[in-house]
Amino acid sequence: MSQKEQFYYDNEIVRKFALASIVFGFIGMLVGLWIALELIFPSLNLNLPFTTFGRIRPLHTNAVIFAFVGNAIFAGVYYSIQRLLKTRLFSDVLSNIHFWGWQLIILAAAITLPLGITSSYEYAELEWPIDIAIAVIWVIFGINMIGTMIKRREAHLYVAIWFYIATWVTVTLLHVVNNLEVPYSWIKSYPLFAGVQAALVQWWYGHNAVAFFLTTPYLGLMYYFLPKAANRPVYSYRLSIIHFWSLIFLYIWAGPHHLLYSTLPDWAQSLGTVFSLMLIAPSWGGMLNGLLTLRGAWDRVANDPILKFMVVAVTAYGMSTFEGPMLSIKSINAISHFTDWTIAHVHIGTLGWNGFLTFGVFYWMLPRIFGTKLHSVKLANTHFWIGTLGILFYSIPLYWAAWTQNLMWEQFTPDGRLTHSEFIQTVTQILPMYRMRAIGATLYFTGLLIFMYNIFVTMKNGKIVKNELAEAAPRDNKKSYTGETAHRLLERKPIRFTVWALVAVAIGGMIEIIPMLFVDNEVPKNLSVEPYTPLELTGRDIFIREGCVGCHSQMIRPFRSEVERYDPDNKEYSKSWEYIYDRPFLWGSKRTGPDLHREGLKTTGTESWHFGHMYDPRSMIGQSIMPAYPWLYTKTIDESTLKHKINVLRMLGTPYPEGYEDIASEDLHAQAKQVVAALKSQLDEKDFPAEVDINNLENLEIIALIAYLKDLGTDIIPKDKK
Amino acid sequence: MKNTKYKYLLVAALYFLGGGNWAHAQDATTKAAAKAGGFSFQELLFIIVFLVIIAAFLTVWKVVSSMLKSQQMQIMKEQGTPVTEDMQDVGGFSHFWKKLTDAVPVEREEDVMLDHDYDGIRELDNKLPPWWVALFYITIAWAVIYIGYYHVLKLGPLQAEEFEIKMKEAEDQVSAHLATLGAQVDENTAEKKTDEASLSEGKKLFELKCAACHRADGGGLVGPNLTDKYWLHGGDVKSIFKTIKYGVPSTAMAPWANQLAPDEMENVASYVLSLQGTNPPDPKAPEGKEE
Repeated sequence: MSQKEQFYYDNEIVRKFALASIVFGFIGMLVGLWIALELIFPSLNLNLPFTTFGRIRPLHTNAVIFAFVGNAIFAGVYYSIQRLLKTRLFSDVLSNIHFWGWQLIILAAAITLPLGITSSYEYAELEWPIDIAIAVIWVIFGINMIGTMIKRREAHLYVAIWFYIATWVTVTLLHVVNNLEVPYSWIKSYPLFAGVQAALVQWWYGHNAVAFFLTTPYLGLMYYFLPKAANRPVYSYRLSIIHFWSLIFLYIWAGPHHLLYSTLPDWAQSLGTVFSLMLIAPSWGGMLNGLLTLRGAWDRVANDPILKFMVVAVTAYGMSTFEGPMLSIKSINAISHFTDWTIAHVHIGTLGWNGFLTFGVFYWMLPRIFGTKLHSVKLANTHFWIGTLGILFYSIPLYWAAWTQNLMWEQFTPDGRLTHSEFIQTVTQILPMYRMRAIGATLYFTGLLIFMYNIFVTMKNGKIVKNELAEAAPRDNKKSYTGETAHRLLERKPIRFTVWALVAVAIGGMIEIIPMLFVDNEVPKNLSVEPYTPLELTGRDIFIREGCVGCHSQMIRPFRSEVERYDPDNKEYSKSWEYIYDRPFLWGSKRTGPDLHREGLKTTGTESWHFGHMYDPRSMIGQSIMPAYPWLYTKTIDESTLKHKINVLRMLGTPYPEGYEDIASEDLHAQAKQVVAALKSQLDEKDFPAEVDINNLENLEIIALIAYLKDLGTDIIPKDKK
Repeated sequence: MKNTKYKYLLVAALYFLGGGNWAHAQDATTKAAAKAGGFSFQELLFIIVFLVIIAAFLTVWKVVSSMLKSQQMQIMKEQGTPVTEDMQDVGGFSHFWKKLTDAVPVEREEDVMLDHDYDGIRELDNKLPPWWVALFYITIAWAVIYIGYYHVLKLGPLQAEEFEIKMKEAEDQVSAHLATLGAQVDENTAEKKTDEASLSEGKKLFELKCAACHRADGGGLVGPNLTDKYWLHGGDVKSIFKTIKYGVPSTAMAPWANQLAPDEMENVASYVLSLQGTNPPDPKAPEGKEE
């Protein structure tokens, strides 16, 4: 046995990330509670653009995923990896660049999202300069982590670290591919892929953001903190190996289950379905290894809130990873998709698995790095029960709401009419469930406040041990490992391990994405797809800015109930060729309001209807829960980037003629004049809101938005009938 | 695989697997065919829920009983009573459970303890739980069957075909239903209703469907004022019925026949007529001919 060496663990960086996680968790969940209340009281948007649902819903998701969970991952990874590898982190400088860089990214997100600067892609909303910053900081995290592995004293990598490695390589891959975009200004861009291709890439990313940001790193944390907290050996090393590799290999294929019954080709949808189903066992492998590690410690679970949090977290993980595959079965997905089921499902995972595991880990870890004991076990127990109740009150009403609303969407009278032909009827019905959900959210948030109080008092009682003394023998590079298994060998080779993890995740992505790039989107001969006019394009960008896609889908599925509701005249569901110029695609994933893909074909959807509706939705639909958008009636159209937009889109394949960028502005005004003329023919002067400048109508943003809405779906009309 | 219980489990699982496919087929074929083929979708869902509840119940039972047992053994240890081997095996369920999990009991875990030690975390080398392995194989088999069924053998309808089938099915059902109804009220037979029930239903529908353009009080906004004596397309109940039913081409007045039943349209038309002379404030200027 060689001489032991002394060294110090860096606890300061752990403290920083943990504090950031708690603070941003508070903010992120507060915003979540707020938007839950906005659905009940639409006026809570305060008639301000920055606080409207469409803009701050992504703020909520980004804050809880990347700031709360993200910082918790870094705290947990940096705490555990030093101890598992018996070394200080690779570089204090990189650790600090990582920390401050990540917080700056969060700050940038918190500023840009309320300003409406968004790519509109779920969990990838941030625009190109921030995307680049994320890539840089993420690479720094990777260098710091792999560097730590290289200077380790421990010979082998523990299973937790396998999960950290998989997280790092896969997120890098996903982030880069999904954010391929061409800037048209210093803060805005259009994506490389359009329509159905964009949809596949985005949900390959989106699903795996769940898989490799909310799942694999947390499995890593579970593998370190649960056996530590329970003081029990891990149940099965074999199970770790099998479920790790099968999980990362299979997960990457599952993205298309977000696009079932869309215009994605059937083969890709089917791959999404079957790979999701095959994920049950690998996912449950993690749950089993967690729960069975507690064998012999169950008597302590009753008394120890930390173990209780972990048990519920792992159970919630098991529940949502069973539910996910079930929702990937097409006939079930037909019910759940676009409803609140998705919201309920995702919150079982986030509130239960991510939230509760974070609480458990922090309750265990933070007193240790502060050299003290948790201030109050009793308060932690209170937090546990109130949080558990919160999860139940959050999710059960939403499942109920989803089921109810879907049944109403699909219901027909015997003589063939939709029983609830106005979408609002199906919204009013589920409002009581939204109220219950807000109560659940409040309970969970109350639990968070108790947690924060308990942790802050604990921190005050103790003192941070910035550098914690440890000792271990150096790694013996000459030691022979004859007779070891192939996997045991791999555990000694971090770089090789990383490469194999990359291979495992790259296969599924390539097999699905590459053929999609060559999928035929041919437009039928009697039809045509018109590129967006400059005014429509401007309106579309406003639609994106306001986050309309958060509540309105543009994807009519091939169901009788959908064609009858959204395209009663033609009874045509959405076709993939209709989206060939859609950058970004705006299919949406939730219908809090109706689908808009054929909005332009609605007889009653006149210019004046939209004009009145966006100004005050309740003047048109009495029970509407849509926020008002009064600022569109005073803000004027920004033409400063119009030229660049046209150029970038042409470069990407939209057939604007050469030189069109120079007359785009002219075209924009010509069309705006037509919209204004229509509006004036429909409304008397007295019907316009007082603050609207009637003489300046053609320059107002609302005109562009109306032009876009009136264009939606018109390509389905044959050329000779247009 | 000598154990018979294990075989039963496989049979049940295979049955389940088949059920999953039938549920899909049912989406595409007629209900009658599905009834002959297996479960309906609701039945399948019911079975899943039922099995999940049973599984949850068994798990809770197992957890509680093993906790009780460990407690009991602890007490026995404290009292100095020797713990016997058969303490660890009570009844058939335990046996079954053991077969399912194939776990080395906690008391003998040193037998499968690996020499791994990561910051004090040790690892056992328990076997993969057989039920878990079976589950994994079943899902893989299901994947192969699913892809084979839909994409290789092309036995099941894909979504475009499924849509056509469903639309045809609905059309047949609706026309069969319409055939059983007698003559429905139309623009030639519509009559002005004055009873409370009809007018209040007409009012409800008017507020839901018409108020956005004609204002809730009928004073007109995008659409004309409905409370004055001037009419663009006729002001008798039959003309109003016709306007509601077919709409007015190239205006915002949509045809409502696919959203409102004939008697509903009659009620709305009657309600519109009841608004005559109500003189709401700030109305739209008269349009059309005085009648």
